Amino acid sequence: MEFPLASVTVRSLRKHFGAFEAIKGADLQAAEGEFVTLLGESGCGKTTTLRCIAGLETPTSGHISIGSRAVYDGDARIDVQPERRETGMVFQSYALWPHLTVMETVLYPLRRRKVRGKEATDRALEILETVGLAQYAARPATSLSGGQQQRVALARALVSRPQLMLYDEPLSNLDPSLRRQVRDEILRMHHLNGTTSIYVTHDLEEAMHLSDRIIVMQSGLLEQTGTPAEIFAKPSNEFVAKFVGFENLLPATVVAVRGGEVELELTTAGLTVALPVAASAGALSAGDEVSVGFRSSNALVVGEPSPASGRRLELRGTIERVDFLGSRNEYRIVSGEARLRVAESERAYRHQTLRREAGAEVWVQVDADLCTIIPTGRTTAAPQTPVGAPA
Amino acid sequence: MTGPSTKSLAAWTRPNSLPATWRGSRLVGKILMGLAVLVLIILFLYPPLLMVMAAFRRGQLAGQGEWTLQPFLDTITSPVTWVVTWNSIVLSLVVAILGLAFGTFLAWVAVRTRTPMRRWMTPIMAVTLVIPSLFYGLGWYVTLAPPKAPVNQALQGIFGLGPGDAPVSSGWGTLIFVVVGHVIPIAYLFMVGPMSRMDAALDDAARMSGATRGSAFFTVTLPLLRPSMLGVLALMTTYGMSAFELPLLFGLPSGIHVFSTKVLNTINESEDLPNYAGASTLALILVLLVVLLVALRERFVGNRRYSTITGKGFRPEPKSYGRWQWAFLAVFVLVVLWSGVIPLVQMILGSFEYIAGVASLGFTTGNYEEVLTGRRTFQALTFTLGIAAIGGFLAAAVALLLSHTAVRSGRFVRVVAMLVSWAPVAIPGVLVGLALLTAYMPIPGLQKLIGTPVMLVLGFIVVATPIATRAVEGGVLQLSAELEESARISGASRATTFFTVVFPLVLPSFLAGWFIAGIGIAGNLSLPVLLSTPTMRTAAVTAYDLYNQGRTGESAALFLLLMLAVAVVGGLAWLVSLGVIRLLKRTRVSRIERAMSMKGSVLHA
Repeated sequence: MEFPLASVTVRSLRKHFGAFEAIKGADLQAAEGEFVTLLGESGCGKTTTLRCIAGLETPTSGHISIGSRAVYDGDARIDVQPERRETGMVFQSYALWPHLTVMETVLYPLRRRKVRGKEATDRALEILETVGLAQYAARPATSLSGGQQQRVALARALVSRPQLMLYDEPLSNLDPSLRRQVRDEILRMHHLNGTTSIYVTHDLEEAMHLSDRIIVMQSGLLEQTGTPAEIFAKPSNEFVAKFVGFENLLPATVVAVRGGEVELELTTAGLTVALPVAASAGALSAGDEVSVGFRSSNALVVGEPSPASGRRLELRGTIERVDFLGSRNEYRIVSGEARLRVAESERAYRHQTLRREAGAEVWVQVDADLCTIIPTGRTTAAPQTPVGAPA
Repeated sequence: MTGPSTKSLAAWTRPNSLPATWRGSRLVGKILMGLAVLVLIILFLYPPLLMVMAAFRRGQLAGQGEWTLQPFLDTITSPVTWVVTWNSIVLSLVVAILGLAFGTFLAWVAVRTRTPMRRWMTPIMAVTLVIPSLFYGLGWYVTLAPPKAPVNQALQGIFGLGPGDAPVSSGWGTLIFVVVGHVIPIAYLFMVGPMSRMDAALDDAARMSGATRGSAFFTVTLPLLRPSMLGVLALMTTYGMSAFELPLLFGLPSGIHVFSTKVLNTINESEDLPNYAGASTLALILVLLVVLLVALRERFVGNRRYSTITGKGFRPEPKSYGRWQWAFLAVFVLVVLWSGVIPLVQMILGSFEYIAGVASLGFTTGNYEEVLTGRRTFQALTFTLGIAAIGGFLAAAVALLLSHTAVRSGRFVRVVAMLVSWAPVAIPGVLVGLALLTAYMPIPGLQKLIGTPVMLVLGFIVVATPIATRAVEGGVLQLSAELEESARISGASRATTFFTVVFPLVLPSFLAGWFIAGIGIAGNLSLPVLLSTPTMRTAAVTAYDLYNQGRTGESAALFLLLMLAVAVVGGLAWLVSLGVIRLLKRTRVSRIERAMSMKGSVLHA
């Protein structure tokens, strides 16, 4: 199969529903053949963005082009109807027509695009064989199981060889066991055809698995763009950090940047620490307010401070609470004014003796390369001011 | 991109103040929508508007009538007007309350108890709705009203009265009795939905908190249903307001006038010139009352029309009420006798009796011979069936377009669509006829339509749209927007989407709407009573004339023939469409199989 490839450009896209601003000026790019995911919580505007690209929603202003063709432009009064945008879309609810068979469903986009006769049936059968559903061709589409239905929807979206594929949370309605299977199918079809794809989801793992690039959205704004590895390791702000699983975010101020190191004062824990510059998602200078973040699973709980002072973050604290969760212990530890969450793996809690009870004094260690410095965008004029509660 | 080209500069000279949603190719959609609204206005808004104007004119509508307040003031100040208003309000309120009480109780019995036959209750109630008012009314009339009617005969025997005495006859008592019987199925069908969506756990919680079964019903079930009940109550009141055939049979002989009968009476009261101004003024008062009711209904019900009480989609668990259930069943059987079986049987018997309702004289087929040899019978039947088929189809089409646009559009269109689909429920057909006359008579070209079947069809669309909407909107509401969106993405235009996705999926509801609207039209008397001419008479008008001439037996025979014809035509159409659907399905499947075997792939379907 030969698929036309097209890039997608969205510039300063806005969409208001009455007084509610669903998208507050989004700019995004997808290169030819790229798989881009819009990741965010429900109501963040990701689905609205996708529907604007599809033409199902008319933006309030902005510009959208697919390939070299502008499909929406608020100033030039261009608004191409969805059926002329040559896209394919997979819906959350499958959106299969109950009055058509599997074959007729897949033929539908071809008929609308004037592909007829043997060519149409051959193409439909070819795509049905690719998704492994050829033997169900004569069955009503809605009589199949959930996973099969979503594969019919996938075939329907791909059969007309669209220049752009749009996915609107296609896995949310499926059972967890089927999700993995359809996800692999989507990825396989993407590798097979290489169609430019935009995928909307609220599931981090889905986004990590599928995407070439992830765009994190929050309340109508694009927060961060990057490869899955970048987003996972170096979130550029606190929202993204929390979204990708940084349970611990400690407010800090940059004291100095020298050589390959950054010296930070942790305001709530009340100590100073040196971390490698590479741990930061952006450039730093003295006086910047930042957060030092780490995942609970990357920290260790120990009974006493280790003598070897390698490059690591070490915090002294008191256990507030321990929860036994089978495969791990979860601690809440108070260190100065900061509250830390630390997970202790089964391996660690079996091999180490420790007073695991509220009130016990412990040390929390995190390797420096597992810490991330997250900019907050604020700067304190005088870095030496006494410790205060950061905003 | 690059700097401004000449082309983009030229684009700036165009007026660019339109908001984005009004630009480009979407504008075409908006224009189409505007056209649809225009058709609605011509059909539903323009005639009543002209009727308002007619209230302030004297003389012939078509000629140079003068503007004057006099007929309006005359009507407003006449005590008769206020008696009619009072009669209408009393009738509709009493009927609404009684109908709702019976309907709610039976709905509860059908959904929440283990009464025998409870699964048959909803279908039976739906079938009784099909009986036309005039037919139902005549059936009860021959049972109740004349001195020789069975009920009066029995009473004469019991109380030793003379043969000419009629202890029961027309009047308030029989009028209310008959109208209530006619609206109970409507109330039942409106209440059974909300009732079945109610969580039985709420009742159980009341029982666990110490309430008896009875007090749980009155302290939990009923209060929870209050919003639905108030909404249905308002609706039932509008049904009472628009009643025509029954007051004509049971009120008029005792001098009890309601709006619909008074409007007809006012037009025809003077010999030389129809009093359109007086009739229009009366109609205005009714319209005002109805608007008030619709507003009240909106206040009580608002947007909760389709919301469920818990929204969890479970089935309420019916409970056994022991021997009480036989009493419940008895009430149900009585109601079915009341609102369907007795008048129907009476009409069937009556069509074979020398004098309808008097069995002692023996039976005859004379009525049928008389009717079947009548010159106009065949013509009236085919004319009625034709009008019913065309009018029903158009009403169902309007209902489909309305409910589809209402679901998929903004607030304004939704409100317009809702008004169009609800308001005519409350407007008697006589008024629709009056509005059409007043609207088309003053305009030279359109004037020619009066007295033609076109005029009748126009009126019937208005009258039957609410009925058709009830059947069609359920199907439309079930369609998720994504089914249409996926068609658009697959390359179908708005119109193609409508015909390839929306229409096939709502087809069953559409056919049901067509059939129901057609039945409503076939039995309707209130519209053609004003609009039909001697050469163009529906079966209902003919039957009413026969009744007026004292030939009730023939009238019954004609009506039964009409119902038989409707049943035969409807049944045949149903069989044909079933066959067509099956054939289409087979060819579709075999075409797919052929395509696949040509490709040489293995097939096991």
